[in-house]
Formats: sequence, structure tokens, C-alpha cells
Amino acid sequence: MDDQRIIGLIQAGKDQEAFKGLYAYLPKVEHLVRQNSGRSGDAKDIFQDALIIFHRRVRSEGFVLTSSIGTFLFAVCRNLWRDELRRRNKAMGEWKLDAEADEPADLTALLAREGEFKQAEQALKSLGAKCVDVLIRFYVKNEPLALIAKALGFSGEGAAKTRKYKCLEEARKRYRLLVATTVTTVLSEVEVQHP
Amino acid sequence: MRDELHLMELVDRYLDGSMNAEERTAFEARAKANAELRELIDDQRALREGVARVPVRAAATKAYQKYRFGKPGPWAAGAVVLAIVVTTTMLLWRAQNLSANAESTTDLNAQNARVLDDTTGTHLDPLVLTIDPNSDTTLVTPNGIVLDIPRGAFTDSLGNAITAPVRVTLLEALDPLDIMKAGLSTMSGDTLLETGGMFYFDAQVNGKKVRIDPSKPITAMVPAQPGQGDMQLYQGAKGADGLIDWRDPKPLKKSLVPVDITTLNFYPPGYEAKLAELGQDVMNKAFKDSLYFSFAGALERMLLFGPSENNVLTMAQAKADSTYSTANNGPACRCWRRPGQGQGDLE
Repeated sequence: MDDQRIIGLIQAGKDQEAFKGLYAYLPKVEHLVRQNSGRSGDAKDIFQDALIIFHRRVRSEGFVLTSSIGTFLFAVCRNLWRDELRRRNKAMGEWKLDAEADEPADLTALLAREGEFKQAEQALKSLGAKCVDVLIRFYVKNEPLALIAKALGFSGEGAAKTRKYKCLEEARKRYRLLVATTVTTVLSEVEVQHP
Repeated sequence: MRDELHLMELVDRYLDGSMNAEERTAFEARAKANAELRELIDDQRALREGVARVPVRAAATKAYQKYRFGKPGPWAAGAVVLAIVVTTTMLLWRAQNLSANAESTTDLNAQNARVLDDTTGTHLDPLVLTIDPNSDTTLVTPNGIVLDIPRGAFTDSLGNAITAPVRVTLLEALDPLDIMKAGLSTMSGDTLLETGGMFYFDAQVNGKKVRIDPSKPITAMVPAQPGQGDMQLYQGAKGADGLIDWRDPKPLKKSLVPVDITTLNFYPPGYEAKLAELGQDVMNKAFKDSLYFSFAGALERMLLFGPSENNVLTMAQAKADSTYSTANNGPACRCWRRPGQGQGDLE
């Protein structure tokens, strides 16, 4: 599938179809990860994250494709895997691939933000299916509160709204906790490196 | 609503861009003076992005399953007949091209897995799910084992078919890391086997183990690496020391091997030979197809009525019947009637 067609599918909301085409790039990423002390399962996970990042990029305003999708996905995966290795405290000397010229310049900043979004996603998912359902209906599907209340069995719009913000509030608490834990980990690594 | 919740609603409106210019300026001024509010805005923005990621990730997961199972790859097939269900089975195989049928499958990931006593300590996540034995079931595990469980496959100890829901537990260790993590051995007596992977299958009703009807075997297909030659199927027996001895090797049954549809020859037997005999160009596929399709109707009638001298008569009869049915505003299809019989055949 060519790049323009993939982008067209994502913009039309046919995510699954687009992703199916993009999985053709997975073997290359698998190779990269396997060469750098990972397993193909790891490759699958970071590739999925890369797909989500690409998806957001396409759906954001003023999107222009500056490199081929394959190049972008590969660059993202390479960075994600490098971060993952760092997180796992593997010897960084083993890393064979440094940043290359074809990487988008703003990739590091982009990935830092996406990392936060992923933590938010994890915090949300830990709340349980009902909260996630309410929030998806509200923020992603833009369903009116009356419809959400009816579909999920709330007594009325007010109840649905309160529930939504309570979910969001609880998600925020957990998200802050996740962020705090990550910062601590990074700090302790710094201490190890510079005793 | 409490004040905090009200504030979150305000942030939502700010992030949506649904505030008017006046509101917006006021809100931004408030945020500038209030670090806590700025943090709330940042967090809420991240959480909204997090919400948006959930369905996208679900789509990616589904796409991965389609990508993986839709791709014809090296597969192995073995028809497994287990006399007693509780056996750990090692599947060793012959590399074959067999594509898995992704249709009508039950997604194992969707099921809540519960750890059973006899599967603890393996460090493998057991897949536990309940299936209806009154219909055919196809299971696809995350690592790609495909199990075909036919209707009525399970019986009780007396041989009566079980109709109550059956709880199935599956463990799979296909790659070396999983096998090592699970502490599985590959010994058969004193001989070391080369393994292509192992799986464990258990079926119970109300805590009692069930049997498999020998006339309705469960078929297991296991992903294979190419180049693994004459693999065989072993049954595992767990010893008192917890190690598994692999016994009773059986050769694998060859299942259907799919071939590319474009390589199939759909011409009737002797068709090409006859064309060659008549001096036609048998290398010209377009001509052969055209000629074959031009006889399609005739062949259909041949199949319907049989090749007999009475064909002319029966065809005339059929034509009369079809005229009759259309004249009477019959069904939209043309109905042909077999001479001497009352039932109609749809063409």
C-alpha cells in the first residue's frame, strides 16, 4: 500500500485497515530489535506504539508527510527501543545504531510527549472498562451526554457528566503517580552513572 | 458538581476551543497566575490524548492479528486424538504451507485467564475459556496455535456427549525462551529431542475432566519453522519429580495443503487432451477459457439431467416448466423441474 493511500485510510477513520498495511514494516523493526538484545515480542510492542504515534501525527492539524511512512516508523521504533533498553539498564555500549540523518529533528521532543500520553493511557485503562467507555464516548466519539447516560444506564445527563469528571479526576491521580515513579527511576539511574 | 469538577469542565472547554474570546483571555490570565491550574491543563490535555489512544491501540491490535493470521506462512498440522485429555503434548511437525482460517475464531485475549492449580509454577500464562460443545469452535492462541474443536467432541466417562459448557485451559510454549521459563524438558527416556514447541490442553466440566470422542478428533495446527524435517507428535507424562517424559511418538497426519488458486486447473478431465487432438492451440489459455465458458450452460444441464439421448426432450420439458413458473409470477429465480419428480431445482 502506498503512503498516500494509508494516510487517506487513517483520515477516513479506517484505522484497522491502514494499520494492517503498515504491519508490512514490522519485520524490519523486528530485525533491529533482535540485533539489539530484544525479542520479536518487544518489536511488536514498540511497533504498536509507533503506529499510535503516527496515527496522532496524521490526525493532527496541518499534517504534512515529510518523509516516507516507513522511514518515520523505523526512526520512531529505533528511538523507542533505545529508551526501552536504557530503562532496562542494559549496557548502552551494545547499541549499534545512533541517530541518523533521516530522523525528524523534533523526534525526541515528540517522543517525550507521546511517552506522557502513553502513561495517561495506562492510567486510564487501570480505571476499568466503564470509565474508559464513558471517556471514549465523550472525547473520541463526541456523543452527547444524554446518549451516553442512556447507553450506560446513568440516571441522567448530570450523572453521566459527574461520572465522567470523577473518572478523569481519578485518572489524573494515577497519572501523576506514574509520572512521579518515572522521574524517580530516571533520577536513580543518574545517581548510578555519577556516584 | 464540586468545584474541582467544575474547573475540569472549564479546562475541557478551553482545550476544545469552545470559549469565546473574552472567556479565553480571562481563563488564560487566571492560568498565568496559577501554577496549579497550568498543571491541571497539561494533565487534562495528556489524559484526553490518552483516551484517544485507547481505540487506536485496539485497532492496531486487531490489525496485527489480521496481519499475522492472514499471512500464509509455514504451518504444521497434526490431527491429535487424545484418549485421556489431560496430557501435555509436544507437537513436532513437518513444515507445511497451511494458512489458518481466521474466520469464526474466538479471541483468547478477550477472555479472562484464571490460573489453575496444575498449571502454576510453569511461569506461563494459561488461557482459560469456556466453550459451547454444541457447536464447532476454532481457537487461535496468541502464539498462533489453531485448535479446531468439532461439535460434540467431548464425552463423559460413559461416552455420552457433553452439552454443558466446557472449560478449556491452554498453555503454550513455542519459543525457546518460554520453554526455558516454564522449565520444560525435552527428554524421551534417555534421548534428547529437538522440540518445535509444546502445548497443554485440558477440558473440564464442573471440575471433572472430560474425554474426547475418538470419532471426533480435535485438530491442532501449530506454527512451524521451515526446515524442520520429520517432526513427530509425543505425549507428555509428568513424573513424580515434576519432569516430563515424552512418550508414544506418532507421525503427523498430513492435512489439507492449500495451493495458489491460479495454479489450479478447473477444466474437466480430458478437455485439454481433446483440444490437442482436434488440432487446437492448447497453449492459448484465453482461447481454452473462452471455449470452456461458452459450454458452461450446456455442462450445467448435463449435470442436472445427466448425459442422455433424451436431453432434447427434457430440455424442452424444462423450458415449458420455466415458462410456466414465470407466467405465474413465480419466484424470481428460474425453477427447473426434473422430469417425473415434483421438486424444483434452482438454477
